Amino acid sequence: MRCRVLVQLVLATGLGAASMASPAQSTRLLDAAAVSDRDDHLDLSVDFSCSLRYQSHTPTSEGDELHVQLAIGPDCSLPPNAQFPVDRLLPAGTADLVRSIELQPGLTGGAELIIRWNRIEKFVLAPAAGMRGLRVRVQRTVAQRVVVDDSAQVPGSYAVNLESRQQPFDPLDAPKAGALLSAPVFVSERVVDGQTWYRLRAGPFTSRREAEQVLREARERYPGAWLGIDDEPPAEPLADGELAPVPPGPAGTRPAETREDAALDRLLDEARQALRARRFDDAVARLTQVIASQDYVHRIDAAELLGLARERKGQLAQAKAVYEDFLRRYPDGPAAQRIRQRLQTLRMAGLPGRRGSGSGADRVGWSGYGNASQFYRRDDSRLSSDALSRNLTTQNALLTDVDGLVRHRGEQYDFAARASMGYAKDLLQFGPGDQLRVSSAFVEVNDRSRGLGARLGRQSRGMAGLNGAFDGLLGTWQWRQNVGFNAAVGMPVESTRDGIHADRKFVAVATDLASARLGWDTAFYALAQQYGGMVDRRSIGFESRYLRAGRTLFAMADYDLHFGALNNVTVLGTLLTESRWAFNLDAGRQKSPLLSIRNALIGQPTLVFDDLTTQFTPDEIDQLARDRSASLTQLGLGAAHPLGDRGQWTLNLLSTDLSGTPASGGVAAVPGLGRDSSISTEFMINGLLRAGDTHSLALRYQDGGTGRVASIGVGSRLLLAQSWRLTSRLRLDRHTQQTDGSDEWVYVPSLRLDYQHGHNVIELEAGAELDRKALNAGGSEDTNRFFFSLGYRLTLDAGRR
Amino acid sequence: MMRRYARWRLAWLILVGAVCVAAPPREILDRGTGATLHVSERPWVLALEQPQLAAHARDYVALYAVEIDTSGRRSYHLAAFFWSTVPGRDRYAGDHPSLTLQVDDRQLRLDPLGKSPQDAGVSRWPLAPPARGALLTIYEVDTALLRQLAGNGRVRARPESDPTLPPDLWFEPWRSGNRAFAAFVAATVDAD
Repeated sequence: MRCRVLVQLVLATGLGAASMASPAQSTRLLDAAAVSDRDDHLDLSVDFSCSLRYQSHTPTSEGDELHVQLAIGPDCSLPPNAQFPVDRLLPAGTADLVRSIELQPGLTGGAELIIRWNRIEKFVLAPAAGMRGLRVRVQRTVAQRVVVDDSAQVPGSYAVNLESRQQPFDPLDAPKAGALLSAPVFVSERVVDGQTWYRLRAGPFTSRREAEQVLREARERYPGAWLGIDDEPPAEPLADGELAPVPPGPAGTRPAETREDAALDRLLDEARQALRARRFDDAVARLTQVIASQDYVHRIDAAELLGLARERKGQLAQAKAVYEDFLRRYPDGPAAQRIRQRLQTLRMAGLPGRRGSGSGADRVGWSGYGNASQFYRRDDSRLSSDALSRNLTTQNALLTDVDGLVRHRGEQYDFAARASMGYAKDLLQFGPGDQLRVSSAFVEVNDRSRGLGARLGRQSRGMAGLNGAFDGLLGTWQWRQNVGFNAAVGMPVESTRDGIHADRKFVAVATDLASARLGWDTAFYALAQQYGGMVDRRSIGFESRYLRAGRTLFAMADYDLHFGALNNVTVLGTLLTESRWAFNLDAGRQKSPLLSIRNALIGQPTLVFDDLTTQFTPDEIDQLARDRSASLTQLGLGAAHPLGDRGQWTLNLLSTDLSGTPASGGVAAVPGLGRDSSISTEFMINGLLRAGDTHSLALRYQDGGTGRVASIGVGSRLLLAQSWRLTSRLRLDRHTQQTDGSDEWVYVPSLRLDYQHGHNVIELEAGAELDRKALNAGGSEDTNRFFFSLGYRLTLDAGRR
Repeated sequence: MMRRYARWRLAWLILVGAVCVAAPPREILDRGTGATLHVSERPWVLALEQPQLAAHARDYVALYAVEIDTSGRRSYHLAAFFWSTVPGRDRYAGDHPSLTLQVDDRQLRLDPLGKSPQDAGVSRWPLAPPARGALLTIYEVDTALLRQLAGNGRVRARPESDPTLPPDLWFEPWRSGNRAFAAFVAATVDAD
C-alpha cells in the first residue's frame, strides 16, 4: 500500500510537473545523469542539453577522475571557445559510484567534462549517437570461475602445480606426468582476469609432507613446480535450504591460538565499539590488524566480527570470503553453525538476475539519497566600438536543483523511485522567463531471482539504441548470466524542459550478449519510431565493448532501414603499454543531425510538421530530411605519458570534416566547413608549491574552414587549507580570420573558490571574456563579458556507507 | 675507414649488449655470521596510483630476490620495500605488511618472516632503501616463485594489510625486474 502511494506520488509529481514546464532558452549544458547496474558492470549515462562532440579523454581506462574534452556544437548557442560558469549534475543514486560530475570550459577552448569517481575505477567510454551524451561503463570484478575437469581436487588440500599455460594440455600430458611421478595427475582450469589457465597438477594430497615429497621429485622435470595449498575457490552456490559445506583447511600448518596480547585485546574492544557505532571502516581496519596475528587467543572472535563488519558495510563479496576462511580454520568452532547460515544467506543474495537503478549497493531494507543545490548566476556583456557602445545583462537567475532516490532491497524484490528536477528563477525584467526542468521521474521494480525488471516514467537510456531521455516503460530480463533482453516503449524527450510529447513514439528491443572470459560484451538492437503518423526512424545497430587490462575497444553502428543510410559508425580504442605510454584512437562518421523525419523542418518557415504534409508528398519529405543531415567525419589520435612521479604529458591530434547540405524544398544550400585540424598538448604536475596542488599548461593550434586559432592556457588548483580550494585559469586565444586575415585576441581569466565539508560544498566563481577584434575599416571592436556565480550544494544520505 | 667503422660497430654492440644483458646478482659475505648472501641487482617495482589523495602520487613496493647460504644450507626470500609519494602515507601497509603476490595464475599470500636478521643468519640486511622512509619486510619464498618472477608472466601485488585498499585493486608493474631475477636464478638456484 505504501509502495503504491509512493509510486503515484512520484509519477504525479514528475510527469505532472513536466507537463506544466514552459519552453525557454537553455542555460544549462548538462541535462541528466543516471546509473544502470548489472552484475559485472555499471553504466553511467550523462546527457547534454545540446551537441557536445567527443574529442578525447584522459586517463585512457583507469583512474579516479575522468576528463573528457568536448567540442561545443552549433546548437548550444555558444561560440566554440565560450567561457561559461561550471555546470554540475547531482549524482543522487550514483552516490556509491560518482562523487561529482562537472562541465567547465576547456583550458584551450571547448568544454571539459570531469567525472570524479569515489574510488579508482576501470572504465570504457562511449559517446552517444547524436553527440547529445556520453556513456561510461565501469567494470566490476567478476567472481572467478573454477571448472575442475574431474572433481579430483577437493578444496582445502594440497596439490603440486607442475605447469600452467594458457592453452589446453595434450591428453597424454597428464598420464605421462603421472607415470613419471607415480602420483595421480589431473588438469584443472582457472579463470584469472578473464584469461583461462590450464594447470597440470599432481594430487590431491591430504598431507603436506606427501605433497612436498612429490614436489621435490617433480622439480627435475618441471623446474617451475610449486605447492598449491587451498588455492582453488569454492564451488558454485548450493540449492535452497542446503547449508554450505566448506572443507576444513590443514590445521597443522597454523600456530595454536593461545597467545594473550593486551594491545590486541584493546584493538578488539575498539573494533567492537566502532561496529556498534556503525563506523564500519574503523572496525574493519582494526579487525584486519587483529587477525593478522595468527596465534592470538581471541583471533576467532575477531574473524567473526570482521565478516560481520564487511557484511554491514555492504561488502558482500568480502564478507563471503571472510566467512569461508573462518569455516576452513574453525570448522567445528562454536560459531561455525551461525557462520554457515550467514554464508548461505549471502550466497542466496548473490544469485544472478540482480538489477537495480542505483550503483549496486547490497544494503537490505530502505535507503534514501538526496541532493539539493542553489546557485545565483549573473552574466553581463559590454560591446564597444567606434560606432556604438552597449551594455547587456544576459543572465540574472537563481538556479535550484533537487534530486532524490528512494530504494528498498528485499529478499527477492528491489524497488526504487527517483525524481530529479531543476528550477531556474529568471530575475531579468525582460528575460527568457522561469524554467522548470525534469530530468528523471520514475519508479522501478526488480525481481532478482527471476532476473526481471521494469521501470516506468521519465528516464535516461538504459539500453542500447536509445539516445537521451524518454518518457515510457523499460523492461529487462536477464535470461542467463551472459544473455539479457530489453524492451522499451515510449516518447523521446527532446528537452528536459518539455512536457510529454505524445506526437513522437518509439518501440525498441535489444539483446545483450557478454563473455567475461573473452572480455567482450555486445548489444544488438532494433528501433522503430514514429512522428506525426510518419516513420521517423527505423534503425538497427549494435554496440560492442572489449575490456582487458591495458586495452579497451568500443565500436558502434546504427543503420536506418527507412532512409537506407548509415546513421553512425564509431570506433574508440585505448592502449596502455608496459612503458606506461597510453594511446587512444577515435574514428567515426555520423549524420549530423541523426537521420529523422523531423529534420525536414530545418530551414522551413514553420515549426509544425503537419504544415509540411500539405506542401510536400511523403517521399519529398523523406528527401528533405536526408538533405538536411550533413555528414561529420572525425579522426582523433592521442598519446599520454607520465612525467616523473608527479606529472603527466598528453598530446592530441584531431581532424574533422563537416559536409555541406544541398538546396531543396526552398532551403538554401549550406556549404561544408571543410577539414578542421587541431593539435593540442598539455602538461600537468602536482605538488609543485605544496602537497595536493595541481598545475596545468595547455597549448592548442587549430586550422579550419573559418580561420586559424592559437591558444595557450594555464590553470592551477591549490589546497589553501584542509577544506578550501582555489582554482584559477587564464586562457589567451588568437583568432586569424580566413576571409580577411584580421586578428582577434581573446583573454579569458577565471577564479573559483570552494569550501567542502563532507559532501557539502559552498562555491564562489567569477570570470571574464575580454575580446578585441580588429575591424577591416580600421579601429577595433571590444566585447567584454563578465560572469559571477555563488551557491551551495547539500547531500543527504539516509543509507550511504 | 673500415677499421673506424668496425670500432663504432663494436661500441654499439657493447652498448646494446650492456642494455640487454642484466647485471648478475650482488654477492655479499657477511663477516659477522659467515653467511653468503646473493641479492638481485634490480628489484621488481610495482605501484598503485592514488590520485584521489594527490595527483600523480603513488604507493610503491619494490621486491628484491635474496638467497642466504649458511654453511651450504640455502634459503630464499623476497626483500620488499614499501613507500609512498603521497604525503602522510609512509606506513600505508602497516608495520608488518602482508603481501599477496599474483604471477600468472599463481596467487600467493606472503606474511612477514617475523625473524630478526640474526635469527635468519645474517648480521643485517644489506639492502639500501630506494626512497626515504621505505619500510623493509622479508618474506620467505620458494624457488618456483623466483623462477616465475624471472619470466615474462604478469605480475601484480596487493598489500593486504592496507585497510584503505579496495578489494579488486592491485599494484601494477612500474619497473620490471624479470631480467635481474633471471640473472639471480641462473647464478643461485640453477648454479648447482
